[in-house]
Amino acid sequence: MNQITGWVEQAQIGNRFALNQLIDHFQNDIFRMVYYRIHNQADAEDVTQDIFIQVIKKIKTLKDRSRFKPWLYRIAINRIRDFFRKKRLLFFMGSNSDIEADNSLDNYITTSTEKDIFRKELKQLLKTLSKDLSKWEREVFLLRYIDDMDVKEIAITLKKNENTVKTHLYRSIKKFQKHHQLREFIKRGEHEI
Amino acid sequence: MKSKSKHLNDDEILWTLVESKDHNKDQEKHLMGCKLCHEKQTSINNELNQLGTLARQYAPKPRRSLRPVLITQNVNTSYRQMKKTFVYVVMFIICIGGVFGMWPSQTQKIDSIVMEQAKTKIDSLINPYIEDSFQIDNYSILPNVFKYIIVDDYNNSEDSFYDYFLQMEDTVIEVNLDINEQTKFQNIKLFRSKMLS
Repeated sequence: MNQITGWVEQAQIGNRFALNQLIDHFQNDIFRMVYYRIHNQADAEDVTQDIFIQVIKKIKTLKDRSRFKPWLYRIAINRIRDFFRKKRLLFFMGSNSDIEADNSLDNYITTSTEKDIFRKELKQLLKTLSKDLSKWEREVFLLRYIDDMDVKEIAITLKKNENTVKTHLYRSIKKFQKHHQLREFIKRGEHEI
Repeated sequence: MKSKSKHLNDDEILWTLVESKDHNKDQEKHLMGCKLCHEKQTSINNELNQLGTLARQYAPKPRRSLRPVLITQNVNTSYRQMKKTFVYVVMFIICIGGVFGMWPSQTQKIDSIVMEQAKTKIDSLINPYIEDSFQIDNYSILPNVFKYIIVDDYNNSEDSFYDYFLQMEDTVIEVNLDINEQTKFQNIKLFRSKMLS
């Protein structure tokens, strides 16, 4: 973490190399985070790039350098929210065809190998689980288990009390337990790994 | 306080996953001693961690570099942008001003109506008086031949008639003659006598 703090410090005084290091270090994590919320690779790439543009613009405003990761994830969450707002707006305006077309292309590309079939199934099961969770339950659950953040980091990211985060996490795990299909899939996946 | 013989229920096991280990020491102690509860907890915990591992493993890799290309903004560009912004702001202000200026406000409307009414009233009251008094008071003292001649602006005129007329008027003022309808004949007489003398 000290290395990241150092990069942040350097990036804040305009060191481009440090900024690139930061982006390279987090780009896969952020892409994955966005992907499991948007469920579309092309859109996830665009949103991830937007997130890093925002990071470059706002990095000087970050006061506590040790909190870079929660700060970055908060930007990501906001950008994802913006993406869904825009998508809803496009849907109401009747110009959602390009998004749908992009989705179908994404599906077409990922149905070639066994690994891709497995990936598609996981994506579908996570989508189903997400539908059963409330907005905050879903966010807390994904941040905790998919993005591997602890409760304290989640609380900072979502600007919520730690106890609130724990309650959402507890409820989401309880709902997860009822998803036998996903649990079966996980057991199957254990053998595949 | 939980006894060692009583197992933790499902909710309590879930809470042990959410809470930090040192939060509830009794439950932690029970989990250490009870194999059944410990297995239950580990099973759920493993499933959740496994889900994370699978998600990380099976997430697609980005097809392109997601690092944005940084372009340095030189002074000229920022100056041009500022200039552009200024022009937009001015245009916006003009548009807003134009839109609001085109329609008079309620107060302006009321003012104009009141002014119109007042003007009509004043005209209706003053016009007959002005016409009469103008003819009677000012021109009644003149010979009949000049009675209906209207002088617009004799200050700038060089006509000899106007010079004559002005001279006469000045004399009237000098001798302090009262020109009104009642005394007009007396005044004419007085004026003529003065002129003759």
